[in-house]
Amino acid sequence: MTSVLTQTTRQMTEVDVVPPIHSAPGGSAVWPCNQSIAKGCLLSRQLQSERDLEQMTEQLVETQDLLLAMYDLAKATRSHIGVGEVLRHLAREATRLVYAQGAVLCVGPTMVQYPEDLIDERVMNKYLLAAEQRTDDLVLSAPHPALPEGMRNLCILPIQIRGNIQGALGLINREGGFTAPDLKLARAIAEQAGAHIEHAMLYQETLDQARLQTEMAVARRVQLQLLPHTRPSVSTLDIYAESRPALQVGGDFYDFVTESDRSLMLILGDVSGKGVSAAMIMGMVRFAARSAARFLPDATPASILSRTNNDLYDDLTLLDSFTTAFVAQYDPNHGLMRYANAGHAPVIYRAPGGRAQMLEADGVPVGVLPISLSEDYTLAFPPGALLVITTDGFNEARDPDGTMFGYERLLEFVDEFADQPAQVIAYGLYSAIDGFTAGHTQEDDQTLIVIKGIP
Amino acid sequence: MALNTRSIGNVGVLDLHGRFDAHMAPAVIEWYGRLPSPHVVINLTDVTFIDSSALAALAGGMKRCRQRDGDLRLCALQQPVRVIFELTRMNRAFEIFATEAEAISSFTH
Repeated sequence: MTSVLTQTTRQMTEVDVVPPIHSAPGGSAVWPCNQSIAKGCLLSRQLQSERDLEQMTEQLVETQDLLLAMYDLAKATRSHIGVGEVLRHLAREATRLVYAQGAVLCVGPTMVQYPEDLIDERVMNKYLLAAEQRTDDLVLSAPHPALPEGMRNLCILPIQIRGNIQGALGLINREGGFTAPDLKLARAIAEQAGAHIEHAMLYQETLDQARLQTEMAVARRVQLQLLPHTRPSVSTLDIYAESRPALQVGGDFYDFVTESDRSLMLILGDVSGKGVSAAMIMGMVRFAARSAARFLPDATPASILSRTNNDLYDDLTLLDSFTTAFVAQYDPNHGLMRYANAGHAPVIYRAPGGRAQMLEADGVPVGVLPISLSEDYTLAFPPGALLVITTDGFNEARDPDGTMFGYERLLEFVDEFADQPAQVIAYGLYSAIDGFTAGHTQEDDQTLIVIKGIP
Repeated sequence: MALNTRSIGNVGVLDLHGRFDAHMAPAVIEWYGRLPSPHVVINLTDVTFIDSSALAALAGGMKRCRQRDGDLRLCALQQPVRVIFELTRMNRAFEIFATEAEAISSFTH
């Protein structure tokens, strides 16, 4: 608005200093002796003054019209909120205010016409791009080789958004051609349009942000809801499990299966990727793995992974996703832990009095190949034996310099806390990564199961 | 994200740089849709880190190529990237070569 006023003021001042027609070049008027000539001169001067006055009045009215038009435009545009809606409204108003046949507004990839189907978009794009590159107004009147057939005149004005030219306003077929006041008005509209589009974009961004946050909150709730609410009670095991979802939820999950006819099974998985889709896929994988663990005859960890892979391979292929998974089955009669590992890391085992070591996977993650490659392995699990299954949110946690926590530190901390109860070990590990990241955002879910043999 | 792609014979080659993660994965998946042939080599020489979204994108490409009787092969893994492939056992799913030349010639032998 400011620059509209400045332009207007400048023009008025120019009118003020226009010299009278009959002034001599030096500035002092020359008066002829003859009275009739003098009379004529006076008349002529009077006429000139009247014309000046008329012109000034016209300009004043024009300025007032311009201000009024801008006020109307601002007031009416404020009620439109989406970028598309704002563009459509501005195109309609620009057409009306400039008495053109139609207008085109374009911002980034979006182009809006009023009336619709006014001109071929590809043709228009050429002019709009040219105007954006020129960074100033482009006015063409027929006959002009660059004008498309049937178009009498065209005026294109660049639009500044957030300090850069990111759009253009095109006015088409002004009856009688574009006059200087038309151009002034059009420039003012283009300027206003920039401000309104900025507003609409800001609103859209805020809305998108809020929507994303809501979706994330839902995904987080779903994820936490699907985790077990109680821990299984086995007399010879001390068990603790927890999952800390990141702000941008990942696809971590864990589950315990306790059926009366079979020994305790535990499952921990990490779906590739993050966000709502990972949380949804996590629900699917958890269901398949849980069903296999509950109902598969003679289920072993490897057969559970194989069944889960068979059930989910096609769906995971369509979704471009996979899941690393670790499944273990406790055998209380022999003090053994049987496990199978489909590409999951880190899994840490520590024999009583021994050193913590990584249990490396043999099979690819679930959903990568049509058949599972994971086999069953057995660990001695007497009192004092320790199994810590975590997700990569631990080893990939980064400090403010970007250094990763890594596997070595994780192993060292497991050794350090190994004599503590399961819950204390878990707290120890969480506080170790919290200390390491020193407030740096948690980028991925951090999930763990700690299982310890007890007498 | 602009991808640096080349063609050597009937093998499409993709060069990736820096962190290969959730930000880059969609562009790679989108590239699969424009593949002229199902024979692909992804050169990871300049990739310093790879996350699960990236592994999923690679697995997705490998499956698409194998469905069309081709393959997606990898070459020139840096140590930190190689470790991820070994831990997740994704090295059992992909054919991985030390150099790009070996990966490309593997399609003709």
